[in-house]
Amino acid sequence: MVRGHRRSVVILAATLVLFTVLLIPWDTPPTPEALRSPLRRLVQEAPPGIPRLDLDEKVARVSQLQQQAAIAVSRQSRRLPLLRGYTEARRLLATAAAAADEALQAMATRQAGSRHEAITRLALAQEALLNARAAGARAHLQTAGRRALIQQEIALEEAQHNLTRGDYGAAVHTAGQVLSGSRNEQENAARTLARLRDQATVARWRRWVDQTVASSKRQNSTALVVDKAGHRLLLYDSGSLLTTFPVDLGLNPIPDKLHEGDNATPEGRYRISQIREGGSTSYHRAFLLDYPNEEDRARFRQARGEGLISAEAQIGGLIEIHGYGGRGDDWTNGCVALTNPEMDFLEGWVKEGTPVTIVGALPMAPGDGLPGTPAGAGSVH
Amino acid sequence: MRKRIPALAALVVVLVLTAACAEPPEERVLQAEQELQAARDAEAATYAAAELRDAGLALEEAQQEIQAQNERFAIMRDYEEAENKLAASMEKARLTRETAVERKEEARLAAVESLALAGQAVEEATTALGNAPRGKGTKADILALTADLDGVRSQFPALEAQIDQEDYFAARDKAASITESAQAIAGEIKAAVEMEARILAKRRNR
Repeated sequence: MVRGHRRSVVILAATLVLFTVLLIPWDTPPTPEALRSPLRRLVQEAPPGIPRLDLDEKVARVSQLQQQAAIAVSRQSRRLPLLRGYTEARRLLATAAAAADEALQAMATRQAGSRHEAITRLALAQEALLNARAAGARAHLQTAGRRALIQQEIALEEAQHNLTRGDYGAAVHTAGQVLSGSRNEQENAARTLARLRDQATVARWRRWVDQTVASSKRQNSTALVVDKAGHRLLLYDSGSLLTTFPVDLGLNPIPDKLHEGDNATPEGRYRISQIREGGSTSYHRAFLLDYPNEEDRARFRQARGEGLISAEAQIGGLIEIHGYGGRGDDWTNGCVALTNPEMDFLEGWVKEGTPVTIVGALPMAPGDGLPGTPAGAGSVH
Repeated sequence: MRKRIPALAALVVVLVLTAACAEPPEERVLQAEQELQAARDAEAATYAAAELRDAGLALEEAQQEIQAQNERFAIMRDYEEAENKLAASMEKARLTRETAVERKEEARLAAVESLALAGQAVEEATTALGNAPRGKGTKADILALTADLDGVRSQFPALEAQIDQEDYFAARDKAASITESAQAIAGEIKAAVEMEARILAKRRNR
């Protein structure tokens, strides 16, 4: 009887021990926080401005891996605690964490790349705009050209604001527009300046200057030559160059004057028709030229006949060499402006009838001097 | 009869246990998804991006919790945490939608205000240009600056179109650029006028 009772106790105790052992888990699952960590980190640390589709794709991938890890944990709950193993769950979670790291790295790299591209484009656009401005200044762009340049400047500032706001796509796009717009304006300016390289035109200017200098030498007299592109006036006496002065020209200095109001300085062979000073001029001292000459009238008639200028246009006149210049800018209606002291100096050398030859440019081959100098040997090469 | 009692008792126990099993909150998930979509429709991706991400994350976590519970034995399933997460997601989505609507309106007002400021800057520059003395000395500058101002004014149709298309951030950028350009032109007008005054003063002193 006692032996039978002891056996029952032993069996019961053994059953209890076995039952207890079976309920003790030998492996612990990842915590709920750890199971949520990869996706949470990806979403909260993703850089701003990432395209939504790109982020959604990465979120979907990490979410799937994280979900598989969570399911692997849950399935173990069906087993006895002693038999539960979470190795697979931990492996899946580690893969999800690695995918999140990789996605964050890729997004950061892409973001940095986008920012770099935006900065580079902006720098290129800024340089192109500066070049266009410089070319425009050389070509003395008129209304349409200036309007186009200011539009490019506004667009460039807009691109800067886009960049500051972190909208790199917009910054790249706008900077690209500035780049192509500025290059267009630069080409426009180049076309304006192209007349200064036209061979026939340059040859004609050379001939005029040569003839003027030769005549000055022959007659032992004074002559003036104005080089528009060089913005200078050359004083010749008896065929020798005495000195040069910087000059200010018309608002539209590059083209040859065609009609009244075009603000261009005329090109041609003229003479001083009148010397004005004191109360007869507002510009300290002035040498009135006999513009328009016959060539000017012929060009004007031809332009009007071809419809290049309106029927009501007038050829204009009152082109002078006068004072109050020296501003380093082109501001007159077509006249040539020097400083007052320079005009005072010139007044001692000129008279009514003194030749004044105005050319678009005074090009010379490398190594040559100006006409009327020993190196120039009295001719333009 | 006595032989059937244990079978009947077992059946009752099974029925009770089955009835006690929790059901996944599918309808709540649908509601949470609808709330999130409503936030997206309110352009939260533009105006409340961080908040939208948080709301989306809460929904994602709720769905993962539901999936995890579904893998358990029926009687062991507990969707309480999933329900809590769904409630949090819906609340976040609702707040996100409200925030997006508020911020969009703020952006609109800011864009309209910046348009007005740009208009005012151009107006001031135009007035200054109109009042600048007309003389041979200022003619070059006035012609140039008139062209510049024309260029600035030509930007307004594009700016207004951006506001009409509700591209408020881009509109603010453009308006700021226009204002800066107009103010720069006004500065140049002032400099040109001062230079002319100096030249005139020199002439009078001769």
